[in-house]
Amino acid sequence: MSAIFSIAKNTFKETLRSRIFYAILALAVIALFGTTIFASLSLGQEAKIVTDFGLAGIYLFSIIISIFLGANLIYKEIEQRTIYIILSKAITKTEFIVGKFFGLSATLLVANLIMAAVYLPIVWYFSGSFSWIALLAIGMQFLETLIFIALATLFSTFTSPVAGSVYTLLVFVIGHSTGILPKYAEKTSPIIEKLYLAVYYIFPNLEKFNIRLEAANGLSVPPMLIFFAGAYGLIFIALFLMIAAVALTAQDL
Amino acid sequence: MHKKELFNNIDYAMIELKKISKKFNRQAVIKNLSFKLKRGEVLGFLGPNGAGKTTTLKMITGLVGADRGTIEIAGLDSRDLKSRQHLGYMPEDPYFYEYLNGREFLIFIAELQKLEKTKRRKEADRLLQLVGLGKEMRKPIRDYSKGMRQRLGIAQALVGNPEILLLDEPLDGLDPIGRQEVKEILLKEKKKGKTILISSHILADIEELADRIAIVNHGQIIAIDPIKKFINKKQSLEKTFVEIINRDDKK
Repeated sequence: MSAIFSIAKNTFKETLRSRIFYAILALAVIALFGTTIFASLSLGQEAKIVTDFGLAGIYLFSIIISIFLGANLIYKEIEQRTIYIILSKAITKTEFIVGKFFGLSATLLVANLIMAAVYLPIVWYFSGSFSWIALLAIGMQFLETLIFIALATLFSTFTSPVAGSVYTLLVFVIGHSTGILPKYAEKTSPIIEKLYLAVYYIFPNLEKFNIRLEAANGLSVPPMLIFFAGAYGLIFIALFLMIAAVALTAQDL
Repeated sequence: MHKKELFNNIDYAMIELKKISKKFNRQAVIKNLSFKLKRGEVLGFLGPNGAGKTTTLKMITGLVGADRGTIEIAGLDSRDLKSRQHLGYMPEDPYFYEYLNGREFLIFIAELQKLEKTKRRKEADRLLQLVGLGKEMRKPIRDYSKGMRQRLGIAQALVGNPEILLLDEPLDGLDPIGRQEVKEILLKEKKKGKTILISSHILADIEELADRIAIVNHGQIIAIDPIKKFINKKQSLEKTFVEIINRDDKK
């Protein structure tokens, strides 16, 4: 565990010293303040617009950070050969992968906290009360971006950052479409139906983490839905990290 | 004999490679390679470019897996993570995290070597002084020269005082003064009883450091003997090395 913590701490330090991180974060903060302009243009829907656009902004910038930094996570270590010294110590490749994942996750958590610190007071100002559901929505989005970090980490063990980013974005698109696949599957031939169902089960259904609509309309979310989404997300994160560890272990460095 | 007694025995093999083979893209790069290093021994690992020196060192550290054969480090299988606590490895052209400074990097390595929290900073400072980077310890590594990086590479290999040092071209890129200083550090480690496997192209330096020489060519050891057998009044180590390689290439 101490090795994982050391790797995580070092990765956190690395990403916090990255200029890209601050550039993306600065853009995110500007965009969050920008939502107030949209709100002022709407008629009586200010709180809804701010909540919806703000959450979408936080989501978008979290995805950008996780893909940009995640796609480089292991690849850079192998390319720059910093991994040689680290893995010659008493540390397994699995510990290394998990440590890197936690390090970047911590960075993303900081980014989400900063964005939330800007966003929630804006929502409060427009709606007149603190929006717990908006806070929960940020938490759910954060969980989804952890899946992207795990996925980007997996791709970065065997492919370049550009290819890794493209693959992760593909999973992003598929992941947000899988929810509708079972409905389509019924209307197609048996072979296509099986294919649709295979995609449905293999790829994470990312819509499970989307409660932006509920947040924007001030609706409640059943606690069980949150619990199952959390468990669902953790299973995919563990799975992707396990495959990443196997992929790195199989490699000669 | 008890394990501890065995370990302290001068004849105890700190590193033992038994019939190691490795292929990359179906091409054999290491062929049935075997050798032993006794406690306190310094073995100069020589060979032309692409002979398999770096791959052998990487196999000992576990960075590259052997297709066949076994590697033992201090009596432990090299796949056993505990074996790596006995090792200090400096790769060829070592690369570091550029955003850290020398001290931060060594503290990080001390954490990975599982040194006690209270000892990490002291160890980092001691080693930075030892390799002559005391004044530059707070300078970002991205501003280090090649020579400074080599010294930091040696310092990180020494973190935790491991019994075995694996050094891949440790004198590469150093100016004559730097080389002399690094050699002095290595000679001190040798005096302390460290087992050292050193790969280098600078044969004159190997002459000063090594007890034995192993010459590797095309993934095989073609000569392994005490250094005295390779040097005489008429012939330098370099000349003997070239002759042995040429003879082997003609076979």
